[in-house]
Amino acid sequence: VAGWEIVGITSVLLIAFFQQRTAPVENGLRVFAVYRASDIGLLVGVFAMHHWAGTASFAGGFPMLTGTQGVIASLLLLLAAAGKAAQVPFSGWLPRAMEGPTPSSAIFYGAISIHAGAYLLLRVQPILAQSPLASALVILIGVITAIYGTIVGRASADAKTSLAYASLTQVGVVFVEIGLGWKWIAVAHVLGHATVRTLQFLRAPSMLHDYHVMHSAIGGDLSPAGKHFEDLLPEPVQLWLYRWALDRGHLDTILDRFVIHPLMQLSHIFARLDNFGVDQPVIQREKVALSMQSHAGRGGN
Amino acid sequence: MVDPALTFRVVAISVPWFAAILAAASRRQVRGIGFVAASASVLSSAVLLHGAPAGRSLGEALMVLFSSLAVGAMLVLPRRDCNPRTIAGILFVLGSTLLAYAAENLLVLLAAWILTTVPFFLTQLFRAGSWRPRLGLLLSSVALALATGLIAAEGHAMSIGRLTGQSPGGMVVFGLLVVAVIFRKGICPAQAWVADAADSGPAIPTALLLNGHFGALLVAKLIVPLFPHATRDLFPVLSYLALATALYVAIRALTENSPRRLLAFLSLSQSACILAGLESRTPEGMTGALVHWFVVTVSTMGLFGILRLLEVRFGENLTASRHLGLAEHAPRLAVFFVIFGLALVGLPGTLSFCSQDLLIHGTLASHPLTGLLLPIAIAMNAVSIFRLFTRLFLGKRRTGFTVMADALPRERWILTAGVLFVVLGGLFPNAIVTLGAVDAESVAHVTYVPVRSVPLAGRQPLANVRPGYRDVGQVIRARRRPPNT
Repeated sequence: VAGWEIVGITSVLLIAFFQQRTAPVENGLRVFAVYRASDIGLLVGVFAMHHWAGTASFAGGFPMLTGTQGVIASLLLLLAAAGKAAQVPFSGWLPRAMEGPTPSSAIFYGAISIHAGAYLLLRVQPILAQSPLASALVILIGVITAIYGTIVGRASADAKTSLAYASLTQVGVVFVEIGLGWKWIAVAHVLGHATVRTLQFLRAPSMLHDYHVMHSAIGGDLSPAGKHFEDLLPEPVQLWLYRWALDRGHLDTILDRFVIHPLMQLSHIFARLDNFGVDQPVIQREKVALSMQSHAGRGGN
Repeated sequence: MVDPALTFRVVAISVPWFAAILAAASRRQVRGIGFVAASASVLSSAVLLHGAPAGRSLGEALMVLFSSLAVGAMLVLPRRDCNPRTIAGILFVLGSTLLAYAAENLLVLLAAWILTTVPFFLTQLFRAGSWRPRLGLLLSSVALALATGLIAAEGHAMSIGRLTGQSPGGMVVFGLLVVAVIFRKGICPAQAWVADAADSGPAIPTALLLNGHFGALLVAKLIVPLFPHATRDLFPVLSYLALATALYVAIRALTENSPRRLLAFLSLSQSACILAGLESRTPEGMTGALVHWFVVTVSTMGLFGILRLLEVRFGENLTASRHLGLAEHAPRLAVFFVIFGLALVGLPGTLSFCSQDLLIHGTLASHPLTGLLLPIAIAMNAVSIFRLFTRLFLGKRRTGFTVMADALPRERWILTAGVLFVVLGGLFPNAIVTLGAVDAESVAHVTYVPVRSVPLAGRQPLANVRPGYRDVGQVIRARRRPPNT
């Protein structure tokens, strides 16, 4: 659990590395929130296993759990794995994480962080195998993520995000392999993919430079690559898919509308309850601060 | 012959009071007077802790902790706030709080309870702009006074030791004590005064008031030992209220833009977890609660201290509604802030990771719902503290003022000491967890309920969940000494 959470906090701090810009900082906060939400699954899952079986250690064999207990523990661990590996519906944080420096993106989203979820599922695979429901859910999440990743990745405008979605697709396939019980295939896939993807991330900036050089050298006529399967679809479907992919499957919108917005509304209601019948010096202070800011802005112009 | 423990107790309590008078009268070198007096309290409390019998050192450990906090407050107090009145007020609160920790008599505890609140009613000292803090403190004092009066009216002895297990005054007194806890600790529905006190009162003295954790003290020292049967049957209500508080203020903090209020909410949410752990009645839960008490106290004191330093340097209109980019100007303060903040919400490698681990484990064993919902509250708190950090310290560098000093040496050293406590405590948790375990057993032995699914004796060591410390049961057994040693 400690290692898991340290990976999370270090990757978040690296996303916010370029602290002078607002976007990386806000994206770091968003990623941190998703990590913490999914980490609840790991914490509660581990404690539930210890509570039911008296141990959460895998060293001396797996904890003996009953059917329902196994399903609950598997689902909690799956929540943690899906969050850390950016599987659907948590995939929205992955492009935001690309705000960090490229070497950290290579290490975390080419190798460590993105595969941590798969690694967790590999470690608890015998518990997953006891529960057909959890295994089916792992496969379903993997399939959906793989399809999602490949479609959205095609509409990505920058190299790092394209690579991130390519990683997502492969990790989705790894999830499917784990759900099907092909443990050693998944291990080989994780190792191979982590190695290749890390190198791709590291090579991406210089590759773009080379591409631009070649593009200029031949007079700006390098034909775009990768347009193969889209032509098989009718044009209206292509357009719809393009819009869907541009908005990254509306995942962030859905998360905002159905999770974050209600939570914020609840928080505002609580604030009104708290401040009922009393002066609100904080709001006055906010107004003063905003007014000072606007005056400063006008002065600058 | 005079009892040496009594002598040290008197020294620890009376030196700050005399120093308060001296600081108010002399008006010179007040920080030095405060520092020396608080250090004397630390030393006396440390001697008391060293000589305390196993399983009965809660009061002494808290005395060391609180007097160390007061030393920290003396050092971190900005020059602008370092006037005779503030120093005298802090020293008065220190002496009164130590009196409450050391009290073995109900009347003394009541007197100390009231005395700690006095500076927060006086306009010349720490009175907040809002009326709600005064009402909360007043109602808690009235409830405790009524409970004490009812016990006295029934002809019971006033010694806490003699009252143990006797349920004096029955359910009425039990109810009044719970009401006192609710108002003093800011448990729902009495949570609003805490944020008001932090927002409209002086930051560092208010943090000291909140970090006395008198609500939890009343639970550990009075309610659980005196009312074992009522505790077993009715105490879960308080646990659920604590859980509701932890969740309510965690959600409330998500949209709060005042840094002071936000820190107060986080402090409240995390300290409500202490109450839930104390109520769990399992050695793990109680140990976690007591260790968490230490962590929350040090971390929130550090955070409030840093926030006050920022206010003094960059103006009092700090807000979390936009990025202020203060890390460019005060990188050391930024690092201290993020470490204290993440230590408050269970960053791995800090002591709170161990305490929350034990806390959740213990509460999951006795109240699965609480055990399931506490991590959610802690996760929301983590998001809020990280949001506050990013808004205060990250973002575009602010212009419009000249270069400001980062942490001064005296601030730097005391903040480093706090960081070392939470970090070394996390790396080598056995010393503090063991201390907590011993005390937890002493409180829990009257109300301990075995875990429902697996008896404690048959369970695997906690090291399986959290490598780094041993099974609490083993620790308790290993450390248990005969009462005469």
